[in-house]
Amino acid sequence: MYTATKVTIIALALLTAGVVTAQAQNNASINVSAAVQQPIVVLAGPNLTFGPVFPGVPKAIALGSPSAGRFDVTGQASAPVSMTFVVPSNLTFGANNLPIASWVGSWNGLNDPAGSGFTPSAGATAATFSGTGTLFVFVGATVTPSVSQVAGAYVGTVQMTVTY
Amino acid sequence: MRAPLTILSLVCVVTLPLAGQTSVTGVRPLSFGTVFPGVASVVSRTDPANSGQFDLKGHPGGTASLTFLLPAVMTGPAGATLPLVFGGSDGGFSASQSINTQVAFDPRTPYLATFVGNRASVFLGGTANPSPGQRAGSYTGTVTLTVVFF
Amino acid sequence: MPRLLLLPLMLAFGASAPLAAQGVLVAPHAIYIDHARRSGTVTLYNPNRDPAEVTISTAFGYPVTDSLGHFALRTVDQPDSTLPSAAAWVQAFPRRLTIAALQRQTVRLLATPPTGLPDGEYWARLIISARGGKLPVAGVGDTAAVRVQLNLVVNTNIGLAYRKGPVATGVALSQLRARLVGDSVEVWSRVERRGTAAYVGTVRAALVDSTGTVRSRLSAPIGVYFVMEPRYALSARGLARGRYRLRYELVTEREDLDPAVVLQAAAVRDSLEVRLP
Repeated sequence: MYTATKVTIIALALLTAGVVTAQAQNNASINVSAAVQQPIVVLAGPNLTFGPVFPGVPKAIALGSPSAGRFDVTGQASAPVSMTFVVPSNLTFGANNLPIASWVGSWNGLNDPAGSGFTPSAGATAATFSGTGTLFVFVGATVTPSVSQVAGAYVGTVQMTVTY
Repeated sequence: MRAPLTILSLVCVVTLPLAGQTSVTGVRPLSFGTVFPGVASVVSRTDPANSGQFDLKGHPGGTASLTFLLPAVMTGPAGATLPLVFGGSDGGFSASQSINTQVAFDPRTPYLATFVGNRASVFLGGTANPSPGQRAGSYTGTVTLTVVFF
Repeated sequence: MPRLLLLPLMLAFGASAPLAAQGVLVAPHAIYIDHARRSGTVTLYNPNRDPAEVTISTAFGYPVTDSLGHFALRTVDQPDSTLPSAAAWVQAFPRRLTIAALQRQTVRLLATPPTGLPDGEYWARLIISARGGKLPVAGVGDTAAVRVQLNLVVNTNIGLAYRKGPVATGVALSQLRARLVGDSVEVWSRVERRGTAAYVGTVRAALVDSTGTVRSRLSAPIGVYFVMEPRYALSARGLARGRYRLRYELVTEREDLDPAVVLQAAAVRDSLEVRLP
């Protein structure tokens, strides 16, 4: 075969190859991932609010009062939980004490204080999440200021433990 | 005789196939990490650890069409699905392969990108929308990027 | 007349208004660590507007039931060698942290088990204690002399299991009994763990009428570590008089846990007849 013919054939072959691959397409993939975890959340809701307190006049906040305190707990539907509390018997301002007692509580799967009653204490209280995974815990108490109660900043700590 | 050889050489240069000079590679998965039922989780395309990334190799000054195949859900335990949403600026193209210098684009529609050098990167963010009753466990899906180089 | 005490007092369980919260989100609600990796993580999220101070500690305990069939946690301060405690050798890093408002933080759990630890499952409780910032006071008179501060601490106590080597689980069901109390059918049973790992699963109970129709059902998660006698209540409100079949089963299915950590075991079932007067 003549060299010129060989060259022509080669050139035509290369030309053909070039036309076919004027566009190149590539693709690649990556994963997308997530890990869903069911949390438990314990949040404190509205304050237990006593408002103005008069010396020598005890003041109680009942569970059904709009001034009652509330914890909102979220977890697995119908799961059992255990609650314990550490509540103060006095609020203190320096050497001054403001007694607080008669703690009352209730729990409910609904946001309704008319649930199961209990006394907030170190003793465990069994409760159950609702079918939608909610649990509402209501708390009330009574403060008993003395007739000579000193005005000032009274401090206390409330501790709630939810065991899941 | 040399003239035909010269012409042949020029033809060879012009008609070398493109496929050997272009590529797209998946570099980093799009990772939402831990998500909670009922709480949407967003990954930005500028997130250096969790955004999805593809690296491209092309021609300096060349153009390429980028087309994503995006999943609507991730699949998890017992066939549970976790919805995914991609927004109008969840895609990003960087001609310099820098996550900090991206041009945003809508990954739901084809995007025409222009190379500066011969390498570039594409970044992807998105939003996972677990339902309040989302089943716990691991969920996965696949994102495919198809690049047509011109 | 009592002197008016300008001492408006509020015991705050959260900020005044608008409603704010104290406490953090903890996920997952059960931690599983395997011996191969010896580490795990727990994610904390602060949904509050204020930073939350968090401390993390461990203890040993396991769920039990009391005489009323209610769940409680039995804690042992100094577990001896007969109890499979991991509390002493699992640590959280960091143990104290402040989580900014609306931010999440991953806490790593590192296990350093003693040399020669036998194969099996070891338990601990993880206590996440969250303390919010100072709580403002509502209803306080406009005087600088009157201030009230209440510190609130919210503790979340979740289970942790460390698994070394092959472990298996199961449960034996016995003493199934039921009685009508008010408008509920109280269901009792005795469940006893088998195998080397806690049984983690779901209790399902159903009241079925003579036509085979389910009239009331219940499903609840359960973790059996040793022996328990749980009590459940199935609603019987509105059900007609007559005979029903109570079906009761325990299965190793959990929608709230990653299937990868739930040990599989054969379902256990029992049933008995219940008469509603």
